Formats: sequence, C-alpha cells, structure tokens
Amino acid sequence: MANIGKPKRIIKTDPIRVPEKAPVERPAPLPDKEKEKVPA
Amino acid sequence: MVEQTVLEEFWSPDPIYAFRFFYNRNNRVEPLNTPFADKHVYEVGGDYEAVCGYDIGKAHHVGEFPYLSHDALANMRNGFARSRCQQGFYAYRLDLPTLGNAPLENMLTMKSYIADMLTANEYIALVSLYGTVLETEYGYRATNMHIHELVSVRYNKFLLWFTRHRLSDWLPDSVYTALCDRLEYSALRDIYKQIEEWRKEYYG
Repeated sequence: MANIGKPKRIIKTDPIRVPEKAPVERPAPLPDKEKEKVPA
Repeated sequence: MVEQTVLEEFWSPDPIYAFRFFYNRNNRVEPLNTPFADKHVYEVGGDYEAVCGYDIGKAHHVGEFPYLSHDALANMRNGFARSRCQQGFYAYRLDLPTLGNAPLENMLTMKSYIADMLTANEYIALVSLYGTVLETEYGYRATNMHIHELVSVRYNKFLLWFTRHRLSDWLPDSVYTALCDRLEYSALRDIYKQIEEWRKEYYG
C-alpha cells in the first residue's frame, strides 16, 4: 500500500469535475407531422 | 478513541494532478497492494468515487472524509477493532523531491514509493483528484479520481517473471544481481522520464 507520509492540509475542490469537452448541442425536435394532418 | 488533528482547509477551483500505479489482471486494470478502497474497474477517462473496502455500507461510517471512522457495529461485523476508515484514492505528488536526475541511492529513502515502482505494477497513470483532497508529504488521498492517461512500464513484467521463476536459485549470484540492477534501472528511468513530462505539463 502506498505510504504517502504525514497529512499536511486539506484541499477542497469542486465535487463535480468540470468536463473537458463542451456539451453537444442537440437540434430542436421536429414538429409533429401527424398532428398537422388531422383536420380541424 | 481515534486521534484527530484538525488540519487547515484550503479551496481550489482546479482538480489536483498526481500519479499512481496500476497493473493488469484478467484484462482488468487494477491497483496492487490495496486491501481497501479500490473496488472499481479502471479505464482511461473514467471518474471514480471512493468506497470503503471493508464491505460495510455508508451507514456504518461516522464523521466526514478524511476523519472518517467505522462505528461500533461496523467494528463488530469486521471482527476487529479498527475504527479509522482509510478509504480514498491514494496517489503520489508530481513534484516528488526524488525525481529528476537524483541518484538511485537518494531515492531509496522513500521505501514504499520505490516498492510500488519495482513490484508487478505495469502501468503508471496520470490522475486528477477532486472532491475533498488530503494533501500529505509525498502524495494525496482523495474522495474522487479521474484517470487521464495510462502508460505501460516496459520492464516491470520481466521483474515479476524473474521473481516467479526463482531465477536466483539457479543463476550465479553475480549474474542475477547484475541482471536485476540493469532491469530495475531501466524501469526506473522510464518511469522518471514519464513523470517529469507530466510534471512540466500539469504541475503548478
């Protein structure tokens, strides 16, 4: 087991890691064609 | 009672880079010599959260990391009085004072680190630690870990093979020690080179 020596200090960082890549932008959902077909 | 010295707390916006060792067993990357805290299957790019290796759920822990301890029930279930919980991801500093061009004799002062390097560990990994990180003399212990890179270390497999097949029993002593020295030196040199690269790129 790794012996890493005596403790010195505590560092708190963000609990959730910042993602390296930007989130993928998804296109807006297409309009529902079936609804358009139904006559009023 | 567990002795607890309360340490100073700091805050950092960035994760902390460090390195550690892994080896390959049954095509799974695993750490060696870690009886607790490592129950994961490791992959490059993976994010991991520390768990207690004594198979006692979160319910049986008291306090907050790194001052965690097992409660009375947990101690009973384990059958021994070990009240301090040592879960977490352990890694070494990228700026270890023994790195660089320091002669091998100087490095031997850090025995566990050297032992780690010369056992069956086949990979060194660049990791970043986040969440709550306990900083120590030679490394860190953290609640969360992300693996950035996994680099195979060439000669350590041979060292393991040598030990398994007891080459020392049938080779002359002088030949055996010369062989080992050569292999160890090569392995160490490779590891130091890699860690130096990481230190220049990621540290400070």
